[in-house]
Parts: sequence; C-alpha cells; structure tokens
Amino acid sequence: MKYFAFIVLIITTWAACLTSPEKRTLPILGERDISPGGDTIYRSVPDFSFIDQDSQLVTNATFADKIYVVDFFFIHCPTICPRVKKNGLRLYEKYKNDGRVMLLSHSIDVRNDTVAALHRHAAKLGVDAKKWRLVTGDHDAIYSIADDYFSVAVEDPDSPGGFDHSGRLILVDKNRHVRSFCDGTNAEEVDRFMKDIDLLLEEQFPR
Amino acid sequence: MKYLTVLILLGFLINACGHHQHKAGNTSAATGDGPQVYACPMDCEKGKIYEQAGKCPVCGMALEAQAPAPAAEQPDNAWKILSKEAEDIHDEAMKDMAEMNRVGRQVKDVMKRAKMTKETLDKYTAVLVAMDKAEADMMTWMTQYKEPENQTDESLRYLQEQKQKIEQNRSDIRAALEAGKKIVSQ
Repeated sequence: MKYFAFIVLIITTWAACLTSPEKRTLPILGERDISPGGDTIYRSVPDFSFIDQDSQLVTNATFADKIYVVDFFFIHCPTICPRVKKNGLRLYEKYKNDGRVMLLSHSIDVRNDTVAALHRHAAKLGVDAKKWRLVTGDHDAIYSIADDYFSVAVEDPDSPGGFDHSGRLILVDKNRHVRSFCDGTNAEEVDRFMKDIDLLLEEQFPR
Repeated sequence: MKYLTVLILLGFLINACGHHQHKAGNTSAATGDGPQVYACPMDCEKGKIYEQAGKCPVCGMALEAQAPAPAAEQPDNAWKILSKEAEDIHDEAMKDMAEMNRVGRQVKDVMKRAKMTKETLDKYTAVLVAMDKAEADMMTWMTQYKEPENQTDESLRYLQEQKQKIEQNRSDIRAALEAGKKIVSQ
C-alpha cells in the first residue's frame, strides 16, 4: 500500500510536469562561479572592439540593450559558411524590422576579408549594416573571442576545439550571457533557434 | 617505284606506332575492376581495345592484356566523391587551425612574460612564422578553390591536385601545431 501511494505520487508529479502551462525560459550557458556571498556569477562575453563593413567601430556598447546572434565566417569559405549564410539570411529577414535583435559575424580571414571586402560582401547579401555587422579586427582578438563565445557550447571539454569553423550560431542576451546556440548549417536547428530568440525577447523585453 | 611507296607507307605506320608506345605503357600501368581487355603494345589503332586476345591487325604483334582505361573505371560521381574528400580535409584542417591559433596565442604569452636568450627567441619566432604561413596557405587555398560543376578529365585532375594541396596544408598546420605545443609545454 505504501508503495502504491508512492507510485501514485510519482505519476501525478510527472503528469503535472507534462501539462504545466509554465513557460520555458532559456538557461544561462557556460561556466559559473559562486561568489563569497553565495551568488552565482555567470561567465559573460568579454570586452571587444572590431571594425565593421562601413569602417565603424563595433564594441559591446553597439549591442547595449539588444540581444544578438554571433557567428564566425569568411568570405571564401567553400564548405560550411555558405550554408550558414543562407540560414543567417533567414534570421535577418525575420528580425529585419525588429530593433531589439542584431547580427554579428566575425571574419576569421583577416588577411583577405578587409573592410572593403566585407563591404562588398554585405552589399552582395543586401543587408543593412545597422542590423548585421560584419567585422574584422586583430587576428588573435578574433580567434580569442571565438573561444569565449564557443566555450559555452562545448559538449565535450576535452574536444580539441575548432568551433570557429563549426557553423554554430550563438545567441547572446542583453547582459552579455550566452543563452542558446545551434548548428547554423541545419535549417531545422535554426527553426528551433528562432523560437529561442522569441523566448528571450519575451523574457528581456516584457510588454 | 611501287615498292618505294609501300616502304614509305610502312615507315609511317611504324613511326606512328612507336610514337604511341609511351602512352600505351602508361595505360597498362593503370588498374581497374572492369573486365579484362587487350590492346596492341604499339597502340597502332590509337587506343583501340579488344575483348579477346589475338594479334594486332596493323602490325601483327600479339595483343597485351590491359587494365580498362582510367576514364572508364571512374564512377559517374567520382568528382563528387573527390570534392567531398577535399572539403572534408579542409574542414578538419580548419579545426586544427583553430587549435593552432590557440597554441600560437600561448606561445606569444610566453614570449611576453619570459626573458629569453636570442636562440630561444628565434626558435619561438620560427614556430610563429610557420603557423602564420600555414594559415595564409589555408586562406589562399580557399580563395582559389572552385568546386567543379561536372565530371570531366580536367575536373578530376583539378580535384586531385586540390586534394593534394589541402592535404599538404593540413600536415603543415599539424606540424606547426605540434611544434607550438612542444615549446609551450617546456
């Protein structure tokens, strides 16, 4: 009889979970520390400073009070980037007129993807520089921030890395925290990612 | 006079046969899984193959067993397979390159912090130069690589060449990465 009560409890709890109308919120991803006061401190995106396709300085301040999607690419990429770009354009189209969302693409080919080359590339894509920043900058700074963004997206801590060529898209919130990521080469994953963006918008811009 | 004409004609034929000898030698070296075929060792009929052994109707020499011509042994999607292979190597090399850059930053950190003899400094610099070159080669490879749109002898040759280039680049990246790891761990 005891067992029976126990089982009923489990089943009802489980059923409650399933039917719970409570909204899903996105977790804050990445490593965290506990402060001496007992608060959880989440790793956040470090300071950065890059130059975009219109020679404008792009820093953390560019994305103040906005959520933004990050990726790493290069213009002459023969394999992964074209597929990611296609999905990036879907994001661009969806949030084109939504001032709360921006896109930030870093070129990891600092030799060839000059400001002029990025400018031509953006023109070819037909994207607005205010919405989609294509940036270049110091070689090591770009590779280093790639590690920062992607460190949260690493499933296996022992894996050798190389995430700047994974085609991943990363979602960063208003507080510089990474909240979601997806495989940018996979249209279905990007569909799911867009739902995450909408969730984050609801959370951070309540009406 | 008649004899002379015949002699000249014969001379031409022998000459023509001899001319193709080298080419014929090449084809017989190729291997394939197609059915056994035969050809004149002098290639008198320019690439003609026979399904059965016998004698060349032109020069009379015994036909030699041949592997099928290389073009015939390639499946229709050989170019797709090849370009996928080249691109896979590229993707792998890109991952190694990210790791190489990570180690490169560590090398620079060490160089900033530690006091070094000129000899050590040169050694560290050489590793950074090798990393830089490997990365530049990768970027160059990507800029010039154009995936062919169909299968031709030319596109297959091109892809083989591209695959070799990117393989070389991958091993350069790995070598630079290993060299960097070695000095960072010291």
